[in-house]
Amino acid sequence: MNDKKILSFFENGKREKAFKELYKLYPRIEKLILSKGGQKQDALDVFQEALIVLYKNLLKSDFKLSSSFYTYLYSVSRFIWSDAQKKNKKTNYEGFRQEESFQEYLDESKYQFAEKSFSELGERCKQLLLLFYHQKMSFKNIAKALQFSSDKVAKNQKYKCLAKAKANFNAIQS
Amino acid sequence: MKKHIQNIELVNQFFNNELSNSEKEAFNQKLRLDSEFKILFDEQLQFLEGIKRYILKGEIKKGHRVYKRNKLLKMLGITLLAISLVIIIPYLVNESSGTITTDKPIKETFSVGSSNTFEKNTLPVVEVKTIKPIFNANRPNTDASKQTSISEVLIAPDDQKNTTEIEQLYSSLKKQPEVFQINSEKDTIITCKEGTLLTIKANSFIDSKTKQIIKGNLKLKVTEYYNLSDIITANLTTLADDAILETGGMLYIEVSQNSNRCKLSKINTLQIGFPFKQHKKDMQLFTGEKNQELVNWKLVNNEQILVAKTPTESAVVAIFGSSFDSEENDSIFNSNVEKKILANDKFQKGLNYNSDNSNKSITKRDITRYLFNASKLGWINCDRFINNKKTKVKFKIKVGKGADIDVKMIFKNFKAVLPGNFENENYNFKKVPIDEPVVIYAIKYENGQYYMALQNTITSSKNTSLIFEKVSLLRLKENIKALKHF
Repeated sequence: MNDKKILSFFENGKREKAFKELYKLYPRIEKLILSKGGQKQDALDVFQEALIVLYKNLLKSDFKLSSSFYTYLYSVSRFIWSDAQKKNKKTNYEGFRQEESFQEYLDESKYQFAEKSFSELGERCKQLLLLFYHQKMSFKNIAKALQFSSDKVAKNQKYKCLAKAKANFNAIQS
Repeated sequence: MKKHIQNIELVNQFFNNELSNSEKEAFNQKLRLDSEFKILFDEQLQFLEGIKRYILKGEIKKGHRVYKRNKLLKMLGITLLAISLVIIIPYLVNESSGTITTDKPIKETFSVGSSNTFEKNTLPVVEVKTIKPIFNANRPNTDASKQTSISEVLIAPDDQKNTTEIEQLYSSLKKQPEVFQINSEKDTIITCKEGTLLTIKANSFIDSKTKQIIKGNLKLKVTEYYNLSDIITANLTTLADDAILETGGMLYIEVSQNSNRCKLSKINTLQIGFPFKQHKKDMQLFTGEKNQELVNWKLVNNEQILVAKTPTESAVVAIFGSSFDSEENDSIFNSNVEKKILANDKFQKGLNYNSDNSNKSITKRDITRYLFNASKLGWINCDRFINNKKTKVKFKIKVGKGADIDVKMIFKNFKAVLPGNFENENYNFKKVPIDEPVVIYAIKYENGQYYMALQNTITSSKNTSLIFEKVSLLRLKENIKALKHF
């Protein structure tokens, strides 16, 4: 599968297919992380984060992928692992002389807490917020879909869920 | 607390691009001057990005699961192949004169049992097949898709050189038809991916040139246009001359045999069921004629409309046999054609509704349709006229000159899309009902860069302007596909 094909999957909204293809590059990234003292789970987390950075960059109007997907994901993965090492102060990371920094990853790490605060919500809250924010559904239709007695109830429930997410967020950060 | 909730709503409206230009200006000023509001805005932004990460991670995990499964299957395949070779090779060596035979392919054919209790006078079903598409856009790599390649090439626009960037963009997003192989000598019922039901009587088609009735297998191609994004990328609009229509779904149907176009014979019609979620009165059948790149719709007279729940019972009997759970006396609108049949899981599977992940939105309660008898193939539309008594006005929006641009008006209170006419740096929309809330959709390509604008306004507004944002090609495609007003 060449990079062009993967790019066309992204362009046609077939993200899962694109990610499936990109996972073919994972064994080489895993090797890198293992060679730098990481575990298999670290490698999986790093690669997942690198895929998010790649995708977010592809969405930018001024982003041009100048190398292959493999080269790009390799560099981002190195950066992410080095950053994680720095934060944990576990090892001396001399081996990671970074020639470039990935601002997108640094931005992205700000949203990790928000993601965690959302994923810790109950299923019903998650469903409601996804329908509202992701599907852009009206409260009337949300009330129908989730069997609330009225759109007003759905609206109130949404604010309660938001407040819960905020409480989760504060708890994670403290 | 009330103010806090109002502010959250305001931020949501901003993110959803629902603010007018003046409201946007006020919003930005509030951001600069009100520090509490700025904190709330940042929190909301962070939260939305968190949700986006959650969704994206879900997709990545799915991709990973499929990758692992495929890897496992590949290894299993290699192991099985090795084992088979170990077993077969000695056998072949010993039995060098032996031949290997294969089973005949199993046909998915269902015959109607004689014990069924349904009336047959309207559609004497002899044999009905549940038809699976041999091609659809979401499965481009299957072997079956290759079967369609010849006819695809014949109708695909092959001259990309003279097209604009936006035309090429639309062409890349253009919906691919579902292709079905049918036997022209048998009654056939087909349910398409988005719920369109086609009922075809035996011997309905004739060769366009020789006028002879077609025998044998036919290729039937159906493209369904129910979503706003599909309608926009196909450059379809909802106009019958100057009159605005509300659409209940558009279709493009073509039938061919060995690349020869076929048409319906004069004595036969094609019954089409357009699915709907909310019933609307006065829906009628229209056929389309291409007129300078746009399709203009013409009303088809003397067509009767029926509303039916579930497919025709004969189809269900054919698929599931007469033991299918039905309520004979609970007819809906026209008892001699349609009867209410309880939908169950078995029924859903029979219609292949779950055959594709992109089709999760179709549920049992959605299977209600407007039924028409069409006497022509090609562009077909289930529409009704927007007959509100509002004064008609001309709406004008300035876009400047020189750019490769497409501008459309999308109505918010009914399902209608209008094309604009470019004139003196403006896009004009003539004879639109006054005070209607609309979204002006615009994309342009200028100096190697794509831009997009979605502007909420009302048709009486005199000073609407478009604020274009730079977008990557990927973002633009995603934005177009995500258009969900319908």
